[in-house]
Amino acid sequence: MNLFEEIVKQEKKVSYAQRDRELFSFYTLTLIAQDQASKKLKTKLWTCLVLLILCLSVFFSPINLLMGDLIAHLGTIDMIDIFKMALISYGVTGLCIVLIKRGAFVFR
Amino acid sequence: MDSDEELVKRTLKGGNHHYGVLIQRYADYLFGLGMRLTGGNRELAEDISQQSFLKSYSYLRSFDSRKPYKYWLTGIAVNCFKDMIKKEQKYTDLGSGSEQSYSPQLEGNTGFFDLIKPLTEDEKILFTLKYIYEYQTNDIACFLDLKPGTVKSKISRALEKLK
Repeated sequence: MNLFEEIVKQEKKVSYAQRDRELFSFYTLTLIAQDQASKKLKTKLWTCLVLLILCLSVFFSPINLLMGDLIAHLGTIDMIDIFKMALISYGVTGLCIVLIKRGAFVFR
Repeated sequence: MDSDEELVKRTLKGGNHHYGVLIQRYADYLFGLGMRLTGGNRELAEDISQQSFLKSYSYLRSFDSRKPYKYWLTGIAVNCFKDMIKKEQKYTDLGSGSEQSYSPQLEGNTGFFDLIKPLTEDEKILFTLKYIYEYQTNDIACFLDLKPGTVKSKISRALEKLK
């Protein structure tokens, strides 16, 4: 056991040092910054993709058919329904504004 | 001098340069640990310390400030070492039969590296942490996410092998 203890004692005295601590720190921070930038880019690309899909789905939806239905049943709509519709429209608009603002935050 | 926990808090608030202070503070410690675990392989030891700092930064939000940062970082470094060994084994298995083109240059106290050679990777880790860094069994169990009993039994098994 004496030899074992002696080797352990010797090893405790040894101190290991990085070649250049400043350079190592700088390089590691650069790698971190690079990783963060790549993550940000990925987020932007995903947001763009989602927005693109949303826009395409709106443009290619059967909007004329929906409008035709609305005009055909215009006579049967009562005022309460109109108020409900207005409320929903303003709600959706508000939601869109919030989303656009968030989008602006992401793209900053 | 700012405490580690304070520097972590500042880094999380967006000051990456504070993390630079932590890197400089523990660069030699992690490098030394890497050297001891890899048996004096400087390149692997440098890789381990760098990977540990990168991982530590990625998971900095999950750091529990009630425990010392050094313990947390040690746990990360040990896991990096284990991952590296797995990768090395994978490449060795793939390249078995072919001529070895690279032989690492080993540095340091070869007496110690020879001593721990017969141990498994897990035993090397526990032995080094216990006898070189003089961590308590409970601390080792805490940062390696093991039960104290498991740590004790593994260490005594390692000692048996060395006798």
